[in-house]
Amino acid sequence: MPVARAGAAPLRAEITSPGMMRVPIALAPLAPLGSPDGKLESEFARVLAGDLEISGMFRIIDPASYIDSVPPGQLSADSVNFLNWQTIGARGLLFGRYERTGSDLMVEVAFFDVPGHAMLGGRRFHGPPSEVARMAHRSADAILAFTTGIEGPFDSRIAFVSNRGGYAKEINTFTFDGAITKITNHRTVTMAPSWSNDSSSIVFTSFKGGAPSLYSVALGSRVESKLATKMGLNVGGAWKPDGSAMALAREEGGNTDIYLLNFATQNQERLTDHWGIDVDPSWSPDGSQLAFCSSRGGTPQVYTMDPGSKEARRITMSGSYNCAPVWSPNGRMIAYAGRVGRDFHIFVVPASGGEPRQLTFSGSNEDPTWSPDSRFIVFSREQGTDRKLFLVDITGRWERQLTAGSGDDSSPSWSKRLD
Amino acid sequence: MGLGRVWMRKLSVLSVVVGAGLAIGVLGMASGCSSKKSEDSTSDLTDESLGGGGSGSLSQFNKTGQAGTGGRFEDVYFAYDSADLDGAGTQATRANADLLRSESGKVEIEGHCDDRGTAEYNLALGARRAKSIRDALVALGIKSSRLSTVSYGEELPVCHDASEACWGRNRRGHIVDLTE
Repeated sequence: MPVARAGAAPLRAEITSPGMMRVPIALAPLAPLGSPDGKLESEFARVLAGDLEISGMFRIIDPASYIDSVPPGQLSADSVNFLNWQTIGARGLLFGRYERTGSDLMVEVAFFDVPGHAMLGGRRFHGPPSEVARMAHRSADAILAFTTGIEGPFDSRIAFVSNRGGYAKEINTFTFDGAITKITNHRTVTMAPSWSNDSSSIVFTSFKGGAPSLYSVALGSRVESKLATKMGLNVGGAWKPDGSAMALAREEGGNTDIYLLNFATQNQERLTDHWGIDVDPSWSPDGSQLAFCSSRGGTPQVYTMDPGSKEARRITMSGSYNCAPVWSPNGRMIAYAGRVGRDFHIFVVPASGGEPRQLTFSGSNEDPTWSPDSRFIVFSREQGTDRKLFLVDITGRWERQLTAGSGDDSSPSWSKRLD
Repeated sequence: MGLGRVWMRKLSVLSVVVGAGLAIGVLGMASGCSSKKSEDSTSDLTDESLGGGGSGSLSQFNKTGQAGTGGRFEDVYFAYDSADLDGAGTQATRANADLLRSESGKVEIEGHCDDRGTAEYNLALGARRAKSIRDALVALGIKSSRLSTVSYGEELPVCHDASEACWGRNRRGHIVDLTE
């Protein structure tokens, strides 16, 4: 059993400690077991390095400095010449191999703690060669698992609204290799996408029929359906984690309240009954509570409620406008958009209430959505004339722009990790 | 330090797991993930037309990308985060009621917001604004069955700059004839 060498600090990457340094790691290129495929190697390397860079937790050592990047015959600690990697300052090291046989691609990776002379873990993947980007995402997620104990979030999709390429606002998806795919062609305004609980469909609001109504689109087949809701305004479908129901905001007679649509019975149960505006439902991960935005106290604020008892509890106590709450997948925090002066900023607060922490300080920021591992928040920022998607970590220290180009990107919704 | 101890335990657990060699996680990639790119989504909702009252803000936007202004009714403007009619709003509503009283056709009342504030809350606020105008028109003697309401929230602005002047123009109620 490999043992950390005495005196060597164990390899750790952690974003919750202040003043954390980015861990320097080396990513050796994938080595072919059969005939080489340069395009595949460079795509894997690009996506893996991109994910680790976006995480803000690692500094990738320039491959030009690698002394010898041929993987050992066996991917095990005993076979690695750690001195070569210590010499260039690497604390983490990835070796990998791949083989294409017919229409199958096999990729295997192993990750090493260099000062500790230990292998921290490995993964092997099989699939069509077109899935090489997903294998790279899963390798990045594995590296985060090996170094922090929690799987990374990069094998996932972000649904969002964009008018890129035209003026109609359509639903698009973003993956961390940079690919953006247009999903709808409603040729009008769409809003507020969110994911079904198995991340196979996107629920969203569209003005296609004249008034804002809920639709769902299956990502695989692209088949759409209009959800069986009553006439009038319907927005913000939030799937209950157990898949049995969906919370949504529905307007009737000018007043908007939160309803629960039971999929089996098609019955809609009214959860809020107040003259104030009640919108933006977001489930706790165990499905026992809903966070939402309500103006029942005079100004828009974040509340939580038990859908059974319908008792609401106010969470935000400072600021004149706090809305768009989203519950973290680990259940511990609620992120929301709070107005500060003329702009909005992303805040996090403990889910049971307490001191909020401001994460953004420039531009005007809305629509927070959590990563599956609860480490990051993606949101939209307006700086100047257009709106783009940005990522921030939960300490607020690390920020990255995710989308670029023309037009406005907004309303991101982060899926679970795929499969 | 506590954190260090926890980490060392984790490290040794992982080492045990992989001590025998490469840990294998076979990932079935075949099903469920779409790498298909589709320019047009298939839609079986062929009976739905791109809606909105014929000359309404949504129809104009769908054709041109701009919500547009004008029409024969006066727009009503609202204060930030408010759905109450002020003096000018009531005056405009009276003028609109005078127009409607001598006719029998149907109209749609649109509620709009400026883009400060979250999109879903603004959809609800727009609905309130439309209802305020509707209630006032009914109080002024217009039959409620002639009046339908819709909210477009912050989605169909008439201007885009970050100025109080532009924001004020977007916080509006807009009435259009329903041609059918």
